[in-house]
Amino acid sequence: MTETAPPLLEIEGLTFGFRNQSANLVDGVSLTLGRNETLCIVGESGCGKSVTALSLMGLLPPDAVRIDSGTVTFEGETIDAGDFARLSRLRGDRMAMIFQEPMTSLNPAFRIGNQITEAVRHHRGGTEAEARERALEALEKVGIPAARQRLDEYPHQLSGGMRQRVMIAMALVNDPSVLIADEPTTALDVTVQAQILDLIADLQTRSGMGAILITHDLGVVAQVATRVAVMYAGRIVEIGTAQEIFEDPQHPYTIGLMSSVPRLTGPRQRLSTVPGLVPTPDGMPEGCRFSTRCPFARPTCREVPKLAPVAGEHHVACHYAPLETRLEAG
Amino acid sequence: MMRETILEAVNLRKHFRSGGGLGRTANTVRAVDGVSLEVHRGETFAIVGESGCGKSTLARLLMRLLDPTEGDVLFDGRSIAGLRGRTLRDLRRDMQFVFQDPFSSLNPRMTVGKLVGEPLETHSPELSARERRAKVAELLGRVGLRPEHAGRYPHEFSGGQRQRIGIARALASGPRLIIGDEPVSALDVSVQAQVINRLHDLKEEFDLTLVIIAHDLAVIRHMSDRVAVMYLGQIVETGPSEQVFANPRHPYTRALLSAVPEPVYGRAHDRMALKGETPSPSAPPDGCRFHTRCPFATEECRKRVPEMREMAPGQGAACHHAEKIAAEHGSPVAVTGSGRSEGAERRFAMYAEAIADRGA
Repeated sequence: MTETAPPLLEIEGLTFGFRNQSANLVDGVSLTLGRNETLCIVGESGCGKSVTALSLMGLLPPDAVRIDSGTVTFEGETIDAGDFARLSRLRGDRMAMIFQEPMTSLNPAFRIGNQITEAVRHHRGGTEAEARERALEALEKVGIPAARQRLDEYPHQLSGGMRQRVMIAMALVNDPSVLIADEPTTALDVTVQAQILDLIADLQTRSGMGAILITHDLGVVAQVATRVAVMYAGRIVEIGTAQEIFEDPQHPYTIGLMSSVPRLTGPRQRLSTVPGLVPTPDGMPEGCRFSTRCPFARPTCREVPKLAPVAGEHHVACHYAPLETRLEAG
Repeated sequence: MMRETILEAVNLRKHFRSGGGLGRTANTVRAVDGVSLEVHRGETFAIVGESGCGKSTLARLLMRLLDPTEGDVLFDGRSIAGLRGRTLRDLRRDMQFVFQDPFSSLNPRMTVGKLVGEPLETHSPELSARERRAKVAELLGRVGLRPEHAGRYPHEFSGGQRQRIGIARALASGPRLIIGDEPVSALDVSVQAQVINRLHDLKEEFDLTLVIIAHDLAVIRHMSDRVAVMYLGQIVETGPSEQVFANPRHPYTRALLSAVPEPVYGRAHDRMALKGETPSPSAPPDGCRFHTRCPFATEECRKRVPEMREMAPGQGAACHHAEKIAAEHGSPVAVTGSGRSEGAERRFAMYAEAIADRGA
């Protein structure tokens, strides 16, 4: 991405919560995504990564959620984060989403071809025959063998990896400029995961599509991310290029997550964990939300730390970064 | 090195009939098709493979939740096939299970105290109600829960806590062997690490043997002493975990290891991409079952079934060309430092120390 090119997608100050709770589920999240980029959002369940994605697609339940602030700027058009109707018009057309479990997004009662052509005609119009040709092309693009025959099959007739490919085909059939993938390979075997990640990367190179990948798998992140945002309890605690995050992680939560991952190489030693659990929305700690689990927490941590620059694009929200100088000196 | 064998599978087969009826011919699914293995007392033995390889069926055969079509399972040298009544109850006391899904394996209508106390009622009927409560409180403490949790119900707990309840329940009868079917795969990485550490401690404390069935290779390498790799109902490679993972001899093990993305930036190692998908276990390929996806397959592989051969002390692989492949190709797992800056290394060391001080 060159310095001057405007980002494909820009999220600014996104803040929302449940209507009946005062603590925010997502609190002041700002992110940008450029063409051809893969932004990975990482964190444990309950850290707010999936609801952030749902809010972009206008998929939050309007009755249960209050949007306090935030804008989404997509291809030059700025949309209020509370304008679900406008956001959802982008969905499936310019912005597409794929989920962890393909069977939750594919209707078991309809043939695969019909489900894809529906997505085409909903956004593009045209005849059934034209849409069917597009669907066929999409299935071929994602590497489904005997694609013409598959058009007339039902989702249950496919393996897990093939279903995930169909879902990707469905998401990509309208040539979106942004793909949002929520744990797209978590339910898949490791050899199939490798095939799907290669496929997404290949499609990106061909079309310049930007991707937001939500995952808890740091191995996948290291492999595919250009930039990484680490979320904890609804806030971004650290963000930077993949190289910055993996070579020079700063936030104690990032370090804790990385320490928890068993490795294929190196000495087998006891894993350093992140003790305790992610706080629930009705039990959010004051100040730094990680302070209740952080082994370095000090009284200062009762104040909210700013997401401050470290170097380059790298930012971290910790009063004591870098730990080795700020803590060992004090 | 002679070690005492606690659990042994002898040429186990489990075939299921599927489909059929109304004039259609039934398929025979060969879920487990000729598996032999020995688990040594006091070790952690891992069984790894992808979905459909038969590892969960194998686990159920070892637990005697299923009866084999052919072959036998020996616990302490005795066949478990014919056990019933009192002797089966004794086996259930000695051999316990921890399941993958802590959400569905605990009865939602029972309190935690009742869930953990139930095996005690069966296996230690001599305990008074009060002694039983004390024992439950002790077990909850051992797995990192609090005694007052005994009055609560499973839905009040997180996934990691529920898995601990499952472990406390498994420990209640005082087993010698615990079989875990994907015991940590449904958990977040930080919680997974907590449960892995806890299982390790409990194994030492209670002098247990563990059999872990899993698909996550890094978890297996971390937890286990020996490993068996399964493909389409058969073991294709087995040996000491560190050795197998550093020096895999079967192409399928190589492919699995090379597909695991390591959490290190710029570690783009050569992936050994596998063609296609696992064939159906109702129609396994002739010859070597892996030949349809193996990049090294030759005419011989299509025709002749490879036997398990010893490749290194304790390590065996069932591949005609194992020596040649190992000689011509290096390790599929790149071994070079952490890729972290000096400052970051110090942060990790500080973090590890701070966590150890907390006793977590």
